[in-house]
Amino acid sequence: MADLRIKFLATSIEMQMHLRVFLPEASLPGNGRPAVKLKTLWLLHGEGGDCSDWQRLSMVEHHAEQAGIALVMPSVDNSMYMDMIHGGYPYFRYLSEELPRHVRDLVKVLSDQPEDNRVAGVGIGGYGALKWALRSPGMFSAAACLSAPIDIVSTLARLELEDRLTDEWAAAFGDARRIASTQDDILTLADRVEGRSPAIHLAASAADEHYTESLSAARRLRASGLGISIHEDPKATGWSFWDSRIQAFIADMATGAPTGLN
Amino acid sequence: MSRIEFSHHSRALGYRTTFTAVIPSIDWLEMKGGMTAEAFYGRRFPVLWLLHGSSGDNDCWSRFTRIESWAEQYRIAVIMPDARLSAYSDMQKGPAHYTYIAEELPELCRALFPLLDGRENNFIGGLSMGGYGALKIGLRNPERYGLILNLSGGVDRVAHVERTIREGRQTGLHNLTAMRATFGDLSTVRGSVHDVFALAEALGRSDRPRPGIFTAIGTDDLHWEENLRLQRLLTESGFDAHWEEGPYIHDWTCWNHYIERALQWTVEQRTRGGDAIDA
Repeated sequence: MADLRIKFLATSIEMQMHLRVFLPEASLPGNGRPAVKLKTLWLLHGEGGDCSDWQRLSMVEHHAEQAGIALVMPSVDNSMYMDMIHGGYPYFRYLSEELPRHVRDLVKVLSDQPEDNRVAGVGIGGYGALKWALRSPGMFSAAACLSAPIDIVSTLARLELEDRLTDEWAAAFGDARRIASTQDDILTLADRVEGRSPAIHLAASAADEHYTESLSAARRLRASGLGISIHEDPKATGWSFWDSRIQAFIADMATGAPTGLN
Repeated sequence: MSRIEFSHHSRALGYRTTFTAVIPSIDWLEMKGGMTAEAFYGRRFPVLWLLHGSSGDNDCWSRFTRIESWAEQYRIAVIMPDARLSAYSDMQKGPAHYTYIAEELPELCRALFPLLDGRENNFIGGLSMGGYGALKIGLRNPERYGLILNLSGGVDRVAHVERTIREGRQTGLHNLTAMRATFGDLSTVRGSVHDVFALAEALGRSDRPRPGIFTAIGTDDLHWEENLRLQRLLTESGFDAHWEEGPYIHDWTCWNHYIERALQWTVEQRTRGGDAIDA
């Protein structure tokens, strides 16, 4: 794939922000072949990661090339996909407002049609993906959360109780009370969804730290009327698991199939 | 500025190559002055296709000069490819660097990025081997490039080839074997597409458009004399040929100074044509 390493000054956050974009070479203009608008998967990194993680640690570039779709992978530092409670930096606003605007203006072949756009993320990136999809209902047709803390409020409350809330999480979220019933609480967002919501694919492994919370949250999301498919794997861990899940999500995306993954 | 490091498989080159693109977007001073990013969305920009010298690559211009600042200031997109040591040729035994830069790269970039089309919005420039390359590509495609910026160009390739034959040099940069791989039979270089003097003369005699040409060179540069000769020929052949010189050698101090001058001149030429750069 064509590999674009992009840096630009984002005015929402007043900082140079980095991202990777991959474009399938077979779909690029050339030899008189006209430009076509590409389906785009927005792919979010986990805690401690950056925009290079997915390309380095999975085979997502290969999967996307096979499927003929573009990838956009931003870096959001350790913001946990929050407009941070402490420090005030609006990473989520950068992600959900300025980034798509900027990258679509810069790279003219990315489709802006919701049926052509999906979002996925791993770990806290899965929380970011689902939050983005629910808060921007016209943006994506589907979202995938891989080993993600879906019920962020319960996870925060448990970490506080166990005295295990890290400085990074505290900087981003404050604490459970600050997040409960806000736009950063997935379960609250799900209750408020109006109209057609994106299809949601949840992949969870028993090895995930927030496995129990996430699965019960998924059942509540389903009860709220969201279209949600759940893939549970008792043994799978790490990038082998996430790679196989993203491969299936991309294959579905290429055919336009609904996200009924198993 | 949006800075893009772009790697892809090139058909013309037959391998994976990397180019660097800088495309105007809001900068820090503008942001602090109250401008918003909105001011840039939907706009397209004129383009400088900027070529490196021998031993260089796509990164050198931005590593050793302030090109990104100038491009921001003058609202020009700059695309910097990597042509290795090809002298910007479709090599006799090697990759087609000329075709990549003259055909494949512009087609790709125009489809992907917010760039303006047309010779009034497209300029080609370079330093040393890249100055020669800019002349070679610009003079062969005058319908596509309105201006050529030649900084310390190694413009007389024929003399270079003849000197290398005389010396019988078998090693190092642009040695005899390398020259044959690039140009083929060295006795045919004079008067060919690799001879910018011949290209300039032929274009001067034709009724095709003539690009404006900016030449800058240090008075202590070994390429001084050949550039002076080319300047005379360009003037005689009816080109609008602008000349600048200063107390420089063949180095980045010279090119950092003159690339800004070249961009100022570029903006003046466009404004003179009644086509404001911010249009």
